[in-house]
Order: sequence, then C-alpha cells, then structure tokens
Amino acid sequence: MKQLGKSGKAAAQLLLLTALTVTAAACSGGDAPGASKPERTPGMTESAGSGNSGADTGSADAGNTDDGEDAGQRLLPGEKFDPAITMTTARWVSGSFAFRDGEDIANNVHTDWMREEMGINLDTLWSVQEGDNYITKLRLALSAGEPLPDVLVVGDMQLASELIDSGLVQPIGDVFDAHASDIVKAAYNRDPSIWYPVYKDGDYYGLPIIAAGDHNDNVLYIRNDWLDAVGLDAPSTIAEMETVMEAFKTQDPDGNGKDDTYGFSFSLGSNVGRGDANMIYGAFGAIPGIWMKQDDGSLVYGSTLPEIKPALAKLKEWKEKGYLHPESGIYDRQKTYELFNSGRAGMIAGEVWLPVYPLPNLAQNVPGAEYDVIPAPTGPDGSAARWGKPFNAGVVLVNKDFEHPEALILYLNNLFEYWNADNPKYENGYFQGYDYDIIDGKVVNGSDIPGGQISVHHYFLYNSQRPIAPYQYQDTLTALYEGKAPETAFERYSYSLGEMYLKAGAVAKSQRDINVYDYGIGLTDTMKTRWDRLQQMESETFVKIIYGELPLDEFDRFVEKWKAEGGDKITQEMNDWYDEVNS
Amino acid sequence: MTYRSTAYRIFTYCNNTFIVLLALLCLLPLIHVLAVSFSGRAAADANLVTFWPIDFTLEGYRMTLGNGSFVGSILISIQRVVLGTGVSMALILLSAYALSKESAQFRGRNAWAWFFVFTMLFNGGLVPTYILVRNVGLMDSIWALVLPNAVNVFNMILMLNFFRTSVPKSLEEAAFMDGAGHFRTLLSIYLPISLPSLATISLFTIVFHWNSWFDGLIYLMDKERYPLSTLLQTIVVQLDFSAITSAEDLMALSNRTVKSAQIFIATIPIVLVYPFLQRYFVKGIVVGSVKE
Repeated sequence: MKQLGKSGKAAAQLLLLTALTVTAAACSGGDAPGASKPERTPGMTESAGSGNSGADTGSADAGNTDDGEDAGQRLLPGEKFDPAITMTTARWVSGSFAFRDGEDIANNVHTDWMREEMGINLDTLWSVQEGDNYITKLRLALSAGEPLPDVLVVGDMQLASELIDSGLVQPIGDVFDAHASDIVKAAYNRDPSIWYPVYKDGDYYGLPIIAAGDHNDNVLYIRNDWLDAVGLDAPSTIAEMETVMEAFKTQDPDGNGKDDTYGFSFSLGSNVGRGDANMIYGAFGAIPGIWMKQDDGSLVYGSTLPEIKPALAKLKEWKEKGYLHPESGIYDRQKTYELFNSGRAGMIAGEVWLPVYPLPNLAQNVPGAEYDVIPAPTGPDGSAARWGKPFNAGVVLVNKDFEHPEALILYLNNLFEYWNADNPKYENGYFQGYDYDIIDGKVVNGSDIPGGQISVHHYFLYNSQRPIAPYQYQDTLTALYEGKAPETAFERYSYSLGEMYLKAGAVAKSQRDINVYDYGIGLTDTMKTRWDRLQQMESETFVKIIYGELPLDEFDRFVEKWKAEGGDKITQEMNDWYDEVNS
Repeated sequence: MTYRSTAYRIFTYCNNTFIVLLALLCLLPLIHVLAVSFSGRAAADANLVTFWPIDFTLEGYRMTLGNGSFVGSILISIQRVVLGTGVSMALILLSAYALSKESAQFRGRNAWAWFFVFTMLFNGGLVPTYILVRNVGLMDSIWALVLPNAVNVFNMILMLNFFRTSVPKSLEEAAFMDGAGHFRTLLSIYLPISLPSLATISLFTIVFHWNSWFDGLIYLMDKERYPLSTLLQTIVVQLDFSAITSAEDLMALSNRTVKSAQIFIATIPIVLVYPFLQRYFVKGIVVGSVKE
C-alpha cells in the first residue's frame, strides 16, 4: 500500500495548492463575488463514489459555476442539447476492426446514440486506419494550416503537448467541474496523476483518457505440467526461478528427447525492461526505462540506478546458461508468444489478459499443456517490484473555437453511465446486438451474439479504451475469482472469459503494492533533442552486456555518459515539471 | 562440339542450380504466406507453419472476402491502376515523342527537356505538395492519386531514349513522305515498334500504382475509400504492442491467417499481369522493316 499512500498524499497536496492558486488568481483578477470555485481542479472534487449520479440533489457544483453559458445546469445523462449541436472530429480505426454491415466510423450505432441520447451530431471530417497514420495525417493538416476539428483524440503525448502549447485548444477544467457526473469524477479522482499531461499554467487543456493500467500489470505464467515433469514447485524467488529454469532447460520437460526447451520466453529487445523483463529488474530494486519516485519525492531515471547492475549480471548469467532463447535480443512480444505457445518455453511474463489471448493457443498446439499464474518473484533482499502500467492513454483536446465544450463532458457522463448500477439502461452493456444481445429473453455475450461481438469501445471518442476507472479491472476480477456472483454487464462479461483470467487479475491485485509507476509522463525540452539517442545508447549497452559483448562494468560508464550527454539536464527538467504539476 | 565439352556441361549445371535456387528464394516466402493463409489460427500465430498448412481452414479467405471494405478497396485499386496507367502512358508517349526530336525540328527542345528534368531533381516536399493538391481541389478524389504522379520523368526519359535509338529515322521519313502527320506517325509507326518498352514502362506504372499507399492515406478523407495498399499497409507493418491493451485487440490484430490471406490476395493481380506483358519482352523488335 506504500504506493497508494503516496499518491493519496500527492492528491491532497494537489487539491490544497491548486485551491490556493485559484483563490489568489480570483482576487487579483477581480472576479465577481461568488466566483470562488473550490473545485477548480478537475476530478479533485469530493469523491462521492456513489453510482447515484441521476439525482441532482447534493451536488456541490450545481449552481456554483460561473462560466456564462449553461451555468447552474449540470449536464447529466438524460440531458440533451435541443436543438441538436454539431461536433466535428477526426478518427482512426484499428485495421482489424470489423464494423457491422453498412456501418462505418462516421455512421454507426454510436453516432446514432450520441444524436438521440445527447443531441450531439458527431461529424467525422476524416478518418484513417491505425493511430500512427492518424498522427501523420494530423501533423500534415496542421502544417498546411487547416483548422482543428472541434474535438480531437490524441494518443501521442508529444503531439498533444505541442497542440496544447500552440494555443489552439481550450482549457476544460472548469467545464469538467461544472458538468461531470459523480461517477466520472470518482473515476478521474482515483489517480490524480492522470491529469498531469494536460496541465499547463494553472489549467487543464484537455480531457485525459483513462487507460486500464491495472489490466496491463504483469504476472508470471508458468507451465504446470512441466513443473510436475521435473518435480518442482512454482518458484517465488529469483533463486527458485533459477532452479526451475535449470530443470526446464536440461531435464527435457516436454519429453520429446530433444534439447529444445527454454526456461523463460522474453524479449530483451528495443525497450529493455519496460516489457516483460520489468519484474526481473524489479526484484533487484529498480525498473529501467521509467522515471521512479525516490523516497525524498524527487524523480530519477530507473535505468541509471545502481540496482540495475546486479539485474544485468543475472540476465547475462541466464543468457549464458541457455535459459533464454539465443534470439531474445531481437524478439518482440509476438515472438515471445510464439515461443511459449509452441511449447518450447516454460515461463512467460505478461499482462493480466494473456489467458484470454494468446495463451489459449498453447493447449491447441501442445495437447495436454497446462499453465498457471504466479506472482512476480522476489529478489535477494526479499522484495519484489514491477512496472505499474500507466493509467494514461492520451487526451481529448477541444478546439479553442468550439462553443460547446460541455458537450464533451455530457458525452463522457453518458459513457461512464455504464457503471451506474441504478440506471437499467446499460445493465447489459452499451448497445444491443453489438456488445450484448437478448435472445429468447436471455442476455448473451461473445460469439452467441448474431454476427459476433463488437468491441464497442472502438466506436468511442476514447482512443479505443474501455471507459473504466483505474483499478476497476483488478478489483472486479479478484471479486469474481473469490466467488462473487457476476451481476453487472462488466462482471458477466469478465466472468465469461474463464477462470485463469480471473485468477491472473487476483494475482496481479495481490501484488498491487509492488507497482512502481512512471512519473515522467511529460516530455521536457532537452528530451525532444536528446532522448532518442540516450534511449538507443541504453538499449545497446544493456543488450550487449547481457550478450557478453561488453563487460558488466560498462554499466557504470554508461551511467556517467548518460548523465553527461543530457541526462542530468533532463532529470532536472523532469523534476521541475513534476514539482509544477504537483503543486 | 563445344557445347558437349565437360566444361560446358559443368557450367550449365552450375548455372541451372543457381537459377533454380534464385527462383526458390523468390518463391518460398510466397508459398509460406500461402500455407499460413490456409492454416488454423493457433498454429499460425505460434509460427509452426512452414510450407504446408496445419489444421487446414478457409477461414482467412472467408473473413477477407466477407469484409466489404477489403473488396471495395480492391475495386478502387483497380480503378486507380487503370486510370493512372492510362493517363501516365498517354502523357509519357506524347512528351517523349516531342522531346525525341532534334532541336532543329522542335525549337526550344532543350529548355523543355530541362523543364522536365528539373522536377526529377527538385520537388516541393510533402507539405507544399499537400497544400497544392488541396487548393487545386483534388482532395478526397481518385484524381489526387492519379494526377500528382502522372508524369514519371524517369520513365519518360526511358521512352525518349528508346525512340531515339530504336526507331529508324528512315521509317519516320517514309511516313512523312506518305503524308502522315505527327499523330499518325506516333500511332502507326512509333507505337508498334515500341511495344517492348511500352510493356516495360506500363508494368513499372502498374506496380507503382498498385503499391503506393501514402498518398491514399493523406489525400483521402475516409478509410472506406482507401485503395488496397493503403488498407494493407497497416497489416504488414510491425505491431506496436504498447498500444495493445486488451486481449480482444491483440486477438484481432495478430491474426496471421487473415493477414496472410489478405497479402496473398493482394499479390494475385500483379502476378497475373506479368505473363500477359512478358511476351512483349521476348519478341523481336524492328525485324525486317528497314534494309541497311
């Protein structure tokens, strides 16, 4: 709970300090009386946490806003614009996403829903396939001086911060405070750091998109049948892991008489440590590739900490002993799945959702193969750590000329109404015939839906993320694993994905306190010019040390070089930025 | 006889082996893709398939051909190739014919030649080109894919040189004597003689139009109207795993069976075009027209 305590404290500070700044600004600005807004910081309002957003009573903000239009009226679900307004946007669609017949991204059940439910005509000016292309096209349009659409989902934080700096987008902090429902506020309140990337000069220039970070936390998957074959128990420490890997490597656990098995399937590739190896580094006390918060509150780049050195030494040893595939250095995640799913590796580290896909392929390729999920191993000093996956998945920006920024909040309120247990409208899901259907009076999910299930979150103006509060995934999966009967649409769907998935969620949650989060979400000035080179130097040095091409002591020289070539300056800038957003 | 000698036989043997290996090198990846496209999901995603399908299935083709936007994009690609090749070849022929004349016949020929070559050496760059296409009003139409690339100067110079070196002067003069104008000469004399180079350049142009994807991305406003290669580009680039945050997305994205089926379908038209053009490559050219 260490981590939670910290962020809780940070939240309190943020609330307090922002309130002070705002009061000061209000005084000097000579605003009208009654303009003081204690809830200036978005999401920092009293977390009611109740699902009862339908009731207008007791809302602290109602009637307390002063931003001209629509003051005093919270745009809760059920409200709609009359006459309907038009909101322009630009979209990207995943190449793999298949629409229902006759639909496309501009016209579908979701745009109908927005029009009928909220009185918003969503006008898609252009659409592309895949997020990278979206960024390319957006940059080109901006270079050519084309106006921004009214609302714009931007997943690339560098582009988002450039747009915010350009002055083309409007702050939405006040609008959020005035109109967000209690459910939305509770979700946006769970982790204040999700607001950091959009903070600039005392206001919030965009709506952060919440990522299901807790759904991406890593756990360890291990071949149960191999453990039985070599007569060992599941490992809980790095030392035990070595024993198991040695047995997996040498004792022919798959019984085919060939020396073709590996202990662990993972990639040492381009983003060393940020991928599947993070819990191995973590066992030694540092996560590479992220900005870790130290005990004194300052940020430090994990890859430069002395704890990395013994971890590198260990990985090098594993590589030499053949526990890892010789090509691990150039593996990507797809390759690690291949190795595990073709039955040639005994362990793989990965997200909570791997049991849903791709791990079911294992049993199809290797009859009789079984796996189990276990917690991250502890290191020599008995502690474990893993990279706590980010809760940020980009932002929704609002054009400074758009007259109805509150429409975006109304939309957000409706998206999160899914979680309102008191509203029967979404008790089965969002759209009948898409993410659920009712056949003969029975609610069905998945492939039982005629035409197959559609992942409706790809429709949303939410960067293809499921609108969900931080930690909600792990909490739900754990409750279901512990025997709670599935009641809500989300619970029923999660439950249908199988017990191993629920268990993975429970195992991940049991280790939530070992999560180490990345606090360096921003992009500093020096980073813009130096970061790519530093990253390249880092991954080259790490991989070469693990492959034995460089001596272990090269790590110390790497740290010195990293600091001299801009690392120190970036660290300073990062800390300044963090102090600013945190104050 | 020399071709019965040992050395000759060894050479032929080595030569044939080499060519067969080269052909296999080109063919095997295609066969692998074909095998994967007919394989079951689990085996394909675990990379267990080599050259023969495992768990044979037509699922990949069923899903690909059942996908309306995929089929639509094939039609758009064909439209683009036909329009683009037609326009390109017409412009290239006309300009190459004019520029193949001597300065004495075509005054200012050198200035015009440099005018073309200049565009080979310099171009406006991405953003100005984009602004130009937008301001001309081509955005979101098939012509934005056809017109900006209509004159490929490199191909034009190839054509020009062919005209200069391979069309006998005497044939042209004979045509003029018989009262043919420039258009008549071009159509009745130059064209039939130039079939091999026409076939070559057409093939270049067809392949170019079939494969280019970036202009489709930036000039078209709706992904439903993408040509095939723009649609496929996102399939063949490497997956960005940091963007994948759920099993459903990974499941949809990493479907090798479907991807392979799509890639294979996309290569078929080009593979089909080759045999039809090939006969022009081997055919003799100016056989018997002029006696020197």
